[in-house]
Amino acid sequence: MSVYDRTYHGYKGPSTPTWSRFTVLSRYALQEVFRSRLFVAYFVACFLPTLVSTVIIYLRYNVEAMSLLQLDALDIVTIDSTFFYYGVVVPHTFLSLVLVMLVGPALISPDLRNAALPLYLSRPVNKTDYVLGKLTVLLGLAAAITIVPSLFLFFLQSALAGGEWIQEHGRIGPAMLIGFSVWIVVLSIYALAVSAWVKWKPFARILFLGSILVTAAVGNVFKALYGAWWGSIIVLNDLMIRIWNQLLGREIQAGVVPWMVAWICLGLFAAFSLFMLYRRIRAFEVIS
Amino acid sequence: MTIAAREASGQDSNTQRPRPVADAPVIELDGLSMSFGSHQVLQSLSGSFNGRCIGLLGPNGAGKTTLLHTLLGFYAPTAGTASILGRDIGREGKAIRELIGYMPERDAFIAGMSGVRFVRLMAELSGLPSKQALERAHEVFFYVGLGEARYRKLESYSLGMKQLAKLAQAIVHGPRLLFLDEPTNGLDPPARVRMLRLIREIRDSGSANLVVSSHLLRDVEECCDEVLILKDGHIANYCNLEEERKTNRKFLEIEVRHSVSSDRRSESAQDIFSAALRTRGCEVAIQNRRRMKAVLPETVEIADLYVAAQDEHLQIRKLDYKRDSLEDIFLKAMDDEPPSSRAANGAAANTAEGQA
Repeated sequence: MSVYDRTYHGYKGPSTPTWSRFTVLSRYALQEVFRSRLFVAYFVACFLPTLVSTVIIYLRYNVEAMSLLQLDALDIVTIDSTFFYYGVVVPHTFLSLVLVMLVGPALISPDLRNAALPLYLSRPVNKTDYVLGKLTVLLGLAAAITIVPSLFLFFLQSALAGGEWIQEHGRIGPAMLIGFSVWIVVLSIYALAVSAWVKWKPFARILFLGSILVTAAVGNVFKALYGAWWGSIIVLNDLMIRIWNQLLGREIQAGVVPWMVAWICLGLFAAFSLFMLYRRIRAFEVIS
Repeated sequence: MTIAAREASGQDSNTQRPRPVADAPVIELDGLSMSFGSHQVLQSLSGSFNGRCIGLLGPNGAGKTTLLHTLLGFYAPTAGTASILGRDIGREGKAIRELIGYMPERDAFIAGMSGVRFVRLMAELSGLPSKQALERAHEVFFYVGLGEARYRKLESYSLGMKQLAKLAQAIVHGPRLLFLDEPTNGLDPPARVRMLRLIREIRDSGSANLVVSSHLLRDVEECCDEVLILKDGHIANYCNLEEERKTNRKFLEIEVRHSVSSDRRSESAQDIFSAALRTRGCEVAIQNRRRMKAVLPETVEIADLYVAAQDEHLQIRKLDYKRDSLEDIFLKAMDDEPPSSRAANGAAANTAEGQA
């Protein structure tokens, strides 16, 4: 069909593989996300902690630079699991939470508000492709500010410190990969579920963050009242701290939630979020 | 070189798109049922439909949109099955949706996007590579007459423009079958005319079959060659409009009233006149409280009707030659008892006749 013809013709050209269709959704959603200058600024700012950590690691192993700055090796922190926990895990966990809060609710709620789902689902795209397409955006962005910098720092430290350090702290790398993967997967699925149930973006953001804070408050009240770990099962932060400590081999305090329970609770939370998400992804509402 | 030129030159022939099964009917229903909870919306629909442009008619709640949605895979059938272009809707949903274009009834768009970007996204989701999708999106916007508005945000479009944008996204990937759900909804007369012209053009291009769901009989009459009428989830009628027009006998539509001198006012004027016509060998059917239909034998002239009216002290207020319109076919289908297998068999028989 040519512009000057203005007559209808079918299409007989090449076609992309069916499995790759969800990437179209991700690509368009990412383009929309990066159209916001505010978001771009935030995304860049997310790498500042990594920059600081990189400088610290670099200085730790650069005698010339240290002497230039009149620093002693003892003045610079030891690079171990505690450094990675406080220098990487804590700031990047918070940054990824904010990132998912900013992006997640904008992914599905506009489609629901504008009844766009029939348009997607009438094409060779099913519910799973749609969810995968949207989830990939969150996972990709969150991984870029969590997994990628943490592994970069781990490999940088390994390269500068050498074999002895790797032998002693080798578990940090896999821990970063597993811990952050669990965190961003759980968080992203939950954000999409909230986005699918609340059509108004600002309210979805408030609900997303509010629900995490409220459950944390309630859980801590239970812990304080009864002095038992089971209050932690609704506190996302407690569950993740338990998993991080286990993965990094850090000291486990007495009376905290058992690690197996933490894994099960996170799994159930993610499964429930996924269930709620799938319930909403349908072409049309059936009103009984 | 445009996509059309490449297609014509035989390039890009190494397509991975699914193809319709050769000689398969456009839509085949086999006991298709669909219910929402205890409410059965579609009740064992069967038949084979081959029209170039099939009009889907029925009163509100007859199951038109549900049938389209079930064929699109939005709802799983509660019983039976269906195939589109020879592919089973249960097993080959994705392949079918690659061959289908769908224009929903309600407003449906993606917020914050320009028209051309929206249509490009839809094309890419249907399997077109990015470059081809962009080219087709521009072309299709010019085709539907929104060329100048293609960079505007969809939210800023008028209702008519949104309808055209919905049509654009439905045809951008060159579907083999097009589902149009109430395409002229909310359009002003010029926009409606433009929409119907586009539908006829697509139909006449031979590139795609169409199913047009509408409650506007005139729209269906203007662009469809076959009509499927649904009533309470059943197929009430399926017919070829052209065949129907040819086979329908010409009849007279008559309206009579008592004259001032009539001494039989207690009886209905129609009853009196229909009895008089029957004695003259006419076939008569009372249409409604005022009007009646009559088919005259060769021996009876129009003048004889006036004589009969005078004899019975009646006045002929209206006398018109007519053929059954789609409205008559529709109303007749609505008056009939809920058909079950009869309609389905009739539908299949009609199709067979149409093919013959």
